[in-house]
Amino acid sequence: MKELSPLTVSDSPFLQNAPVLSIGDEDGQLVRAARIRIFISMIIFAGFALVLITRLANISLFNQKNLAIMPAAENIKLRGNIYDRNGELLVSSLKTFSLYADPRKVWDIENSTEAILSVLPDLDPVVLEEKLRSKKAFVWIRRNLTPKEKQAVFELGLPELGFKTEPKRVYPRGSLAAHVLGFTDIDQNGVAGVERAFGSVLQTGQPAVLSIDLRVQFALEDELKRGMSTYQALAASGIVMNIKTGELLALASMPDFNPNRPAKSSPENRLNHASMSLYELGSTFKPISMALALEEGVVSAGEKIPVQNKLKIRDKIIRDDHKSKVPLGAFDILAKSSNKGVSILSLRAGAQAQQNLLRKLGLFDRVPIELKESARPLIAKEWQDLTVATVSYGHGISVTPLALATAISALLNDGVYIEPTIYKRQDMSKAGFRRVVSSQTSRTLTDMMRYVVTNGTGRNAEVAGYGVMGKTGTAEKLIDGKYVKNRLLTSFVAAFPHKDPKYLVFIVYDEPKPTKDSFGYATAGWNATKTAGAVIERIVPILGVRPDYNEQIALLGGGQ
Amino acid sequence: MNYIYYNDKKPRLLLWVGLMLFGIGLILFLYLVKIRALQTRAEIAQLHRSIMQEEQELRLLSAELAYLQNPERLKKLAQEYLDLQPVRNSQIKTMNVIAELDAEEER
Repeated sequence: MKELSPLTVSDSPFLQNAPVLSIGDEDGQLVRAARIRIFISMIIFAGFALVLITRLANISLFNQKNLAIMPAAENIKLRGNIYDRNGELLVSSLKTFSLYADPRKVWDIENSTEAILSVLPDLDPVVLEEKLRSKKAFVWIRRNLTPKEKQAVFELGLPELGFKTEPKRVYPRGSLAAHVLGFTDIDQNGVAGVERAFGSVLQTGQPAVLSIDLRVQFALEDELKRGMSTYQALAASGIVMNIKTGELLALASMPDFNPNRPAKSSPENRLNHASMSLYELGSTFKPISMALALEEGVVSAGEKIPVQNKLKIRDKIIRDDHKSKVPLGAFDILAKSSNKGVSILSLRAGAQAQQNLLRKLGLFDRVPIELKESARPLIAKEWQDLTVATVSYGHGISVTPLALATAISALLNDGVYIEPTIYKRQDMSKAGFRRVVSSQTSRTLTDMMRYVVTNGTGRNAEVAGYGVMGKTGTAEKLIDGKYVKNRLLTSFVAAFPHKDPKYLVFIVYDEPKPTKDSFGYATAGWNATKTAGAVIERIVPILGVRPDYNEQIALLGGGQ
Repeated sequence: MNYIYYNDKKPRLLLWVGLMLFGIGLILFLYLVKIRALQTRAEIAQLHRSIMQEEQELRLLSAELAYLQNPERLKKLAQEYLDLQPVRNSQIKTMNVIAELDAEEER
């Protein structure tokens, strides 16, 4: 390109004072400006090209990783785990793979059916083939595969198959503590037990830590299962409770179910007898009547109650199973389980005092536990003298095993009632508690209940060195308005150690049968008592309770 | 004087070009930074994913462990291979009792 030189006019003498004209200049300037613009544009374009090349080089040479942003499916919030008091896993949520097929993509139906069946042999071949033959774009083949199954299916390499991740609730301990844990529906909503009670917490992914001790729970269930088969009972309940904290260490109901497959069990199996079934528990109520008598001061130490005489209230004759020909002291009334004895004492204390005590022990209301499965008791509408008598030995009032366990715990816990809980109690100050009877009454009652095991109907529950206390209960079941002789409800409430009661064990059998070594008896002393003893023997090493063989029982004013 | 406008246009041009280059440089720099950020984000996502995968794996393994340590299963295994039973009360002795037994033996 030819260089343009500017035309200068300033040298002309005529135009010394004339304004400067620079047309040529303007042309030149325009050209220059154009060139600059071109140059700038070139730089810009070159810049862009450079950027593109850089990016291209960057992508092709250095960036091997997939840039895809996380798919939303990876973000499913899993339901929180459930642990026992020692951090042992009880319930977890896992992401599982569900297998679906797109039947439009099937090449060879028979081949595909065969291939899928080779990996998932339990599928129905007819149903599977029908699914693959359908004209739909999506059919479920199998929900919630295990990782191994998923891998096997994956290795088939069939193009029509695909996976969707879905959360699944798993109960790795099987039926253990099934009634406590409960279960969820397919949408992961809690339907029963802890799953339901703590549903809102678990839903946020927060874990729940229970008061249950896995080992104690297993010992209890193991012994109850043994008892169920030995005594051929219809049902059984078991409770192990920490008297001092109100925490439930174990709660079992038989028959049980597997929460992994709740739909496969019957509603009867899913029923939590320990907290939902109402029973006339019978003589296990008598410690309450004794506490009433002691608290009201209607029995003095060494006093003998005339239980040998006939007792008739409103045309109803009160009978004793173990008839006594002599008057009995308070200790022996409990040890020999005299209905007449506790009736007489309770009538002395009066209906008002009896009702007050029962109310304070929480027996007039549902147990204030977190579980929704907590039944309201059945109580007589009118409280006559006959009611006072029958209730004193556990008839005419239907409560859950958990309700009675809680009440007896209160009597043994220095007379202080503590709201029971299924949650691990971190802070005792938050627990609801109230005094029910005096320390002295509580102390005397522990002696009386120890005496039942050493000298009375509870002998089979003795575990040497642990000072087991207890009370048996054998009640005839009320069927169609009549008490039936050979259909019994037997129970045993035990607690230990006697010196300072810390743990309570409650066992209930529904319709146990006599065994070879029970001499035809199916009363509590032959089944529930034995089971309670066996449970105590198994859980003391777990709970770290040390034996004390030097224990001397100071039987205040008792014994014959 | 005549060439002055030349002379004072030239630095302006240089300034322009310089600014332009600087601008392009900045844009380029920003672009590279953005790419880096994108890469880092992808890396973070990748890490998140692998953390989640690990967590899943961990959950799966703890569930499996819980299943394997299930007392019912351990009981069966213990009975099958070890001939073990739950501890009996008679197997537990306090130090006092052992001391007494010891004293008796010495006599």
